[in-house]
Amino acid sequence: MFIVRFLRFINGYVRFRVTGVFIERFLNLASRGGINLWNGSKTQTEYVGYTLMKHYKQLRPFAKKTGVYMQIEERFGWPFWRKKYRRRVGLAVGVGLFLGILAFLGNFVWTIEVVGNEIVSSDEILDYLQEQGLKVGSFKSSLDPRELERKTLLEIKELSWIAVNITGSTATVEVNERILPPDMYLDNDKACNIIARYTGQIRSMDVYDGQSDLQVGDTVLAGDLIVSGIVEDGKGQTRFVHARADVKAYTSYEIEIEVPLQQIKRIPTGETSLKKYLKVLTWKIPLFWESDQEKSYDAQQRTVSFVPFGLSTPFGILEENRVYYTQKTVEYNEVQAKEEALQQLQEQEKVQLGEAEILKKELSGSLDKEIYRLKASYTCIMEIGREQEILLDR
Amino acid sequence: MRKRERKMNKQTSPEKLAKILDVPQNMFESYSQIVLSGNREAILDGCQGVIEYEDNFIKLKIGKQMVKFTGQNLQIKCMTGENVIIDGVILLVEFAE
Repeated sequence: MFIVRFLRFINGYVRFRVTGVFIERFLNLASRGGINLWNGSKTQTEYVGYTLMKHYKQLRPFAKKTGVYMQIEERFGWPFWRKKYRRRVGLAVGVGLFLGILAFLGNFVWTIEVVGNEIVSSDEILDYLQEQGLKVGSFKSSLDPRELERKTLLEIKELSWIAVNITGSTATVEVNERILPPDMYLDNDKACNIIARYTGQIRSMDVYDGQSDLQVGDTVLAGDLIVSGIVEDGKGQTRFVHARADVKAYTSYEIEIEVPLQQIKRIPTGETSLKKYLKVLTWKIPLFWESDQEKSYDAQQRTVSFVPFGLSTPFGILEENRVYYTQKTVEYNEVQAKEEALQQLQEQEKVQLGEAEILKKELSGSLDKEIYRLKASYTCIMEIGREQEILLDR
Repeated sequence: MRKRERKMNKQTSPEKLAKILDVPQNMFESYSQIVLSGNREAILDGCQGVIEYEDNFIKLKIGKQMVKFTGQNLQIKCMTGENVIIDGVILLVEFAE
């Protein structure tokens, strides 16, 4: 039905009124003459209906023949609009500009979609594509999708296949991920020695590959060779291997923590707020009035894209969750500084001695030039082997 | 009176043939077709003219017969060649020779 209405609009149509006695006869003549009439309504001596502009002229002889009076009530459609607005240049310029801007903006990429990825994040793929020139606002003609595909595939090893399709203003990046083989032996082709990371006495040693003259109970200094990657066989021939071994030793370890008595600290004010921005492509338009711009805050951002009926648009709402804080200079006394240092020491222990077995722990603290120093000495059993590549001049 | 009734009931040759062969009547003779959408709209194909057109009834010529639609707010929505669409509340459809 829409197409019928559209064609009527393009051709132009009129609403007309027929007054007289022989209206039925007039309608019959019009119908036989192949004239389309629609939405007609009749009272005793009047008929109001619609017909096409070109057909209205053909109705005149029938009106004369049947003695009815015919008159146009209203005109509709494009030919009348054109006549009405023919002197309004601004309107034509506006329409032209609109179409021009539309065509111009159609030359850019406004949305990028990544589909098919599970392990590799969309952000990682988008970041790399951005480096290569594919981003929101890129000029379509300057992009070479095949080149982008080749480069991305070489760069991101987890991808086995990629297709960059630019349709209209949307770039769809379809990817397929590779199933990587498990890493059985890392850099197996490199000849390596195992050397001591720390000084200590060997407690246990499991050598998987390589040659070692040391035994359990021997002492090693940091940097000493524990397992050699140069293996000599019975015939006196040498070969290079990637030495692998688990070497655990009794070692002493030190962690030093420094806590200044004067510190600048962030203190949350307890005030939080949710600020919204209108996001148009890469621009952010705040939807709020900010009176105090000096306030410090931590922010978490989340973008809710405007997707009407599943169609992606360059619009969205950026929600910023702000947690306000103030910066204050805090003065610690020695006890407080020690507490703080112990807390930090606990964290560092987890990081540095996570897998080690602590046998003994000694703490000593001292205050020196407004800085509290906490020194922790450990005796522990820990993995001391470290791989060191044997540089060969081939 | 009897003569008239007999004339009305008399079947034409194409009608007889259609009856013998057990096929639809309009196989051998073209009848006008009326499609009713509930009692709100009637589409007539094969209308040969408007006889009377009022707000509460519309009389149309279809072949040798006449059909009268009686109802409320009746109007001819569209009139194109032999096709007519009647809109409104149709309460009665009558046929006459």
